[in-house]
Amino acid sequence: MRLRTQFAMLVTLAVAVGVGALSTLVWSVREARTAAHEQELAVTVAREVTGLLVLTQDYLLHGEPRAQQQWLARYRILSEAIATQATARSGAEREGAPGEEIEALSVLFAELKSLPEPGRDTPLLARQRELLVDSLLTEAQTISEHAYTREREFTRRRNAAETRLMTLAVLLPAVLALLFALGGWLLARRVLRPLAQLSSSMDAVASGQLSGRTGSTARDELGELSRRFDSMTAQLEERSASLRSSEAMLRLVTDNLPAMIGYWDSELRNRFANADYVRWFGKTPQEIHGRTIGELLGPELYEKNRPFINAALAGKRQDFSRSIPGPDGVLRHSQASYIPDVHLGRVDGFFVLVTDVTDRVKAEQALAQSLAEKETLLKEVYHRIKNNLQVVQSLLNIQSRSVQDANARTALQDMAQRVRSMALVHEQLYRAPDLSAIPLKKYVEDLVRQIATGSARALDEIRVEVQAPPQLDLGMDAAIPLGLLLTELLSNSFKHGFPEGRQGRIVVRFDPEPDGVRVCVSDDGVGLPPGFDPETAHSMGLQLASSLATQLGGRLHFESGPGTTVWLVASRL
Amino acid sequence: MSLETSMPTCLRVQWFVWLPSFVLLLCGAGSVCAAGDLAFAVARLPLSLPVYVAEAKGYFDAEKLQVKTVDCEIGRQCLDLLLDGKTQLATTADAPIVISSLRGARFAILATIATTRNNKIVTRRGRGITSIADLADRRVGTFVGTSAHYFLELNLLSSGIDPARVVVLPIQPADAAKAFASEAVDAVVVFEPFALNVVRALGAQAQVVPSRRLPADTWNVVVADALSGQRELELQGLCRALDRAMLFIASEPAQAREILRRRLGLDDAALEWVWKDTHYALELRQSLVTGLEGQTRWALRSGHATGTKPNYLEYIRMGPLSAVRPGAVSIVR
Repeated sequence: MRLRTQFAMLVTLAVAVGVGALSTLVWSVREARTAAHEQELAVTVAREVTGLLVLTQDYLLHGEPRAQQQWLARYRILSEAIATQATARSGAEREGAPGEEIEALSVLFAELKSLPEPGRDTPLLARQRELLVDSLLTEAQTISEHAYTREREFTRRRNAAETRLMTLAVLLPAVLALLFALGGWLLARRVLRPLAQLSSSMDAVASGQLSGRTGSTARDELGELSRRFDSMTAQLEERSASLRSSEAMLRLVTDNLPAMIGYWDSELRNRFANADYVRWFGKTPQEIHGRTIGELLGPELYEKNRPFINAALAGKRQDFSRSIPGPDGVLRHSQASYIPDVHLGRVDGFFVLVTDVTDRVKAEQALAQSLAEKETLLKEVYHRIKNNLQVVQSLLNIQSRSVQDANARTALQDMAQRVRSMALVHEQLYRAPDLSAIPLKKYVEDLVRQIATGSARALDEIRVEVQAPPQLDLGMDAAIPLGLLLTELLSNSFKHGFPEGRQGRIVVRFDPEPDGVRVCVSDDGVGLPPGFDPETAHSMGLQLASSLATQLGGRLHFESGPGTTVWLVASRL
Repeated sequence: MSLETSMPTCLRVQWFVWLPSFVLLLCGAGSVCAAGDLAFAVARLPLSLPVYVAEAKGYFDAEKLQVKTVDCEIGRQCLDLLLDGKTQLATTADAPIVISSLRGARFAILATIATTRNNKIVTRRGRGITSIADLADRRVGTFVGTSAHYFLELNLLSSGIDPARVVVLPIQPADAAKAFASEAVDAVVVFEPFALNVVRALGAQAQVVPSRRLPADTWNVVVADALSGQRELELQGLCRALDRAMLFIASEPAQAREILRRRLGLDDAALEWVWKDTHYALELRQSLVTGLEGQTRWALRSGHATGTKPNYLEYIRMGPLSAVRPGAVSIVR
């Protein structure tokens, strides 16, 4: 049975006993008081009847007016007492009340008074007097006996009420004591004992002994609570084992990661540190756990790191490098991250992830040094190639001036121009910051300037405009073919597009397209000669240009009138 | 536990002495060992209701009493049956007790079971009798030597009429109504239910003359002298049975009246007529003695009986009722 039901029954029983006892008490007290009052009335009636009998005799013997006066006074008291009795009686009792007798008394005494004084009685008067006296005595006796019966009845009732009260006085404490004892027994057996058992099991669990169970089989609320506790403890034990396993795995993972991992709470006390963290500071895990970050880092390093710590505690992730001596005194380089631990908008602490990047820094430093050395070497190479090409160009120029044949001379000059364009590439590369690419626009502008200079045409006669996106760079693989191709196309334009001092305009335009860069060289010169077919033309320049276009991943297109336009889409540019 | 070890030491040593004595005592009382029939002469009057109830409800049987009731018409006849040795118990009023005691008969009053003022003076209208005083020089029929006769004389005296001026004619209970038919009487004085019979017989001519209040008559159970000092336990059982009957009448008046109706063949109107004048109570009051002595003086003075006034205390057996209900006995001896 459930405890609630048992205690409810006990309380109900106690209340029922209390109400019953109270009702009995009230009823008995009322009964005793009524009985006492009725006894008093009965005694009064009996006393007054006795008095009446004495006074009747007194009057009969002496005929004293005083006796008559007293008789009437007592009769009045008697009548009042009996009237009081009558008002308090139930219907059945009223029927037996001596109302008629009391009235008869008055009549009989009045008739007795009306008779002549005793002593001169005729036989009839004597018999009348005797009859009246007998009747008066009988009525008085009836009243007296009624009073006696009534007194006995109410004595019995009073005794019964007092017996009930005494029984109540004895039984009520006994019953209440029994109920208290029952309640106490119930409390001790069904509540306190299971609670003690539960408390003991809780203590065991609190001390880490998760195998403790109450083993309760009771079917009440506490039994149910105990079984839930056992179930909870079993789950806790299982989860604790799982947690220990997870913790061990976490520890295993973090200890084997090549990084220092730690956790500092909002009071800057250490809550976790993996093996590398412990090893870095040359401490044991117990020495680190619970210590403040200031104690661990020391005042100097703590001051350095404090801005990052404060920022992390403010909820901002911090990443920074730090070079500090390791436990062996050797300078170590580290990359640190302070990651805030934010819950519901509150920073509970921050994670620390420190990676020892000493080896990487050293490698980077070595690589940078090697790169610098290679850049120096490459610059030197570019510089020397450029110088050598300039030498070749000079040689070709010198040779061209000594050659009488105009075609040969032109060929040499064209070759010199081509070498010059190649030298220009290396010059640009030499000057380029990364030595691997040159800015397209600047290169083309310089190349146009050189070609114009070489063509002996002033740039104010033939204006050359280079239109190219400023961010477009040229790799070395594309720069030389493009330079040679532009040299061919621009040289032809200078040479044939503006004869006889004709002024004009050449536009070199680069437009990035999905398939590459559209390269277009156009002029407003005289245009291609009539019947010009690039497919059938056998000049070296065109063949070379076509070959260079192919190297750039495109094909030359010639358009004439007005002026000349040559374009290709260079997919490798 | 053996009988010896469960008794006090004094009893254990002498049990073989007191046990036979105790058994003999019980046998002597006649209740356990010598229980015989108790013939009970009961007047067929409403006053006998307690006896009828005790019989009908089995209260006598409950007391292991073998009571056999014997019907009689009025109390005087019942007492005669007892005095003739035909019954051991009888119901009767005061007057027969007085007359019989003056004649020297021996019996004892066991208890009063009812008190009543059920005597009536009935006349025929047109006879010029409207009050007690009008009875002077008239013929009045009554049951001579009964409470009705005593009632007549007391009423005459209280009205200042010398009883000698009234011609008292003895009548039998069954002849009360016939006496008017034969013009033998001017009035009758009878008790219930005979008074009702007369009233019903006269019909509209009947007139009940107002009477004065007089001490109530008692209706008693008397026990034969042959049982004097004997069968105490049986008589106590009889008192207990009658006491239970009193409680039943008080608590279940409708059922009690039904018993009376069946027993006496009364109709509802008759029951209502007689019920209001009677008070049922099991008692032995001092007023009984007073009343008996008053009637004794009347009987001697009027010549209805002769002899020496008896000491009625010797005619009252208080033991059984005192044992059953001590408070019901107010007579001291």
